[in-house]
Amino acid sequence: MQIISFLISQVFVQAPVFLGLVALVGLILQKKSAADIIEGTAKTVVGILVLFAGIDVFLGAIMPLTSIMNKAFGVTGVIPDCFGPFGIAMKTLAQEISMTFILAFVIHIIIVRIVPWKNFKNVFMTGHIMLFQSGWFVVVLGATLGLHGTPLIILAAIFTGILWTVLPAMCRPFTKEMTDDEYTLGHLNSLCIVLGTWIGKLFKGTKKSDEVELPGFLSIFSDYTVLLSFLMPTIFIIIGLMAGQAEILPLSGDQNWIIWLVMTGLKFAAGVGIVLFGVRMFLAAMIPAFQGISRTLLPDSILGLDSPVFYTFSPVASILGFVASFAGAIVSTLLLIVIGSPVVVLPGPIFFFFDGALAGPFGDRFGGWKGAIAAGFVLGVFVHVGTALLYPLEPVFHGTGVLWSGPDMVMLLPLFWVLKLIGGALGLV
Amino acid sequence: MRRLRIVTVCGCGLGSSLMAKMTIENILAEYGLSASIEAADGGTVKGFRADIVVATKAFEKACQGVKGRLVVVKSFINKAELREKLGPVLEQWLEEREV
Repeated sequence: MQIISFLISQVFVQAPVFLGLVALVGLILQKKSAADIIEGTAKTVVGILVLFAGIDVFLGAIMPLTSIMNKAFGVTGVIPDCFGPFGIAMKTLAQEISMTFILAFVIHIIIVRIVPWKNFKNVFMTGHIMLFQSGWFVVVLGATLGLHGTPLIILAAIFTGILWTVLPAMCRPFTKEMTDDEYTLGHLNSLCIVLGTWIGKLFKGTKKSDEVELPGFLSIFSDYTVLLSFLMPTIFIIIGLMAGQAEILPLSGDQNWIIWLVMTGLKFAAGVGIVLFGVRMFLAAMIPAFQGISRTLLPDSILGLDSPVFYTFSPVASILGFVASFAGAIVSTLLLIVIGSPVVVLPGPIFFFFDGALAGPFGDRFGGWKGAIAAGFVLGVFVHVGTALLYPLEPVFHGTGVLWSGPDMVMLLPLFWVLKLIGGALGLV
Repeated sequence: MRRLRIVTVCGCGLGSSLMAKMTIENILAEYGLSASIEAADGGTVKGFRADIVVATKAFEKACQGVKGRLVVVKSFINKAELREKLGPVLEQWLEEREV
């Protein structure tokens, strides 16, 4: 007995070990070779540790910025993101998130098998997004209804499993013609496809994006690291200049304060780089197992895939959407400052890449280059302003300077505000 | 025999490159091979040491100068295309090992 309780209290509660076990069981069930099993398990454990190390670097860069904003302007500054919040949530909720993921996976497969409608016959394939959504429901349901442990896992898994079924079904009528109904979107920005198409229809008869010449330099920003290493120091310098030298000096110490702002911005980019490396490492071992199982169990379904598969339908429109959503983000930040919002949402680079760039090609379908720009801009504003309203629902991240966000999470805002009111009325929280 | 090392490349090294990993594993099984397959993004692929690099057209430029043989495909989802383009490279790899 003592050995078992030692194992549970000392070994299995460690997030890296727990996920290593999940990967181990998954690989054994797939009857993989010994080499594959050892490699997959080791990389999962180390991948999670790399992720945690990246989170420390990431927070080390963003937390000073948050405290400057707090002290100098009296507002809470947050960057909407997915990878950072996932890593932070995994530090304390690894078991809940991975159990929710596994249970939601079962629920999703059952629903897709039994529902009769053709549009719902999609299998959600984007592994990291599946983990993000599981984690997001764990965080938000914990905060709104005060749930813990098994009830939290079960309810979060039901929500997650339903969402994985509904989101691709929502996109399928819009992606049908583009993809010959061979695949659709499985992501947390399904709204970009729906809204993007509708917005595009307002600009009928406009020249297609691909007939527009774009300045060549824009293409270097299609690399995430390059984008971050320009964008983050810029944001840090702007905030530093607005706050003034006196606020920065206690943090920068002997270093020149402007140089400190630049270096801290670059450190943010480095943190994101490490986080991505860690996520990639452990997902590569875990996710193909799940993908293999769901494809076997749902042979008649089409795949819900990651958003970049749609960029190829109009690469120029996706760059236009990217740039327009960046503009939308800046407008949102200024808007939140002007209206005196206590939470100021800073531009979240990840949304230009995956959401703005996805809205572009769909805006372009009916509305050409104007449609692509309008779609990207509206989505940029939508996700950034919406993030301010997510703040009270995600207390786990208060004080870290990041929030877990995305278009489809903002879409679910009304539901969770109702749950929050119910939770408050029943005295659950 | 040394284990084959393959890297798949997509925008973030998370979405379609993992789909490709799964498809490639199936193709390798047809050849009786197993490999260590890693997913990478366009920015970091040059840091990997691999025997074969598999990328979609959009990342062909980012993969110029990588170590190992480059296989460029239109789609990671199309197993037939992957098999057609990867097959000869795998056969060549097997031949070189036997010599």
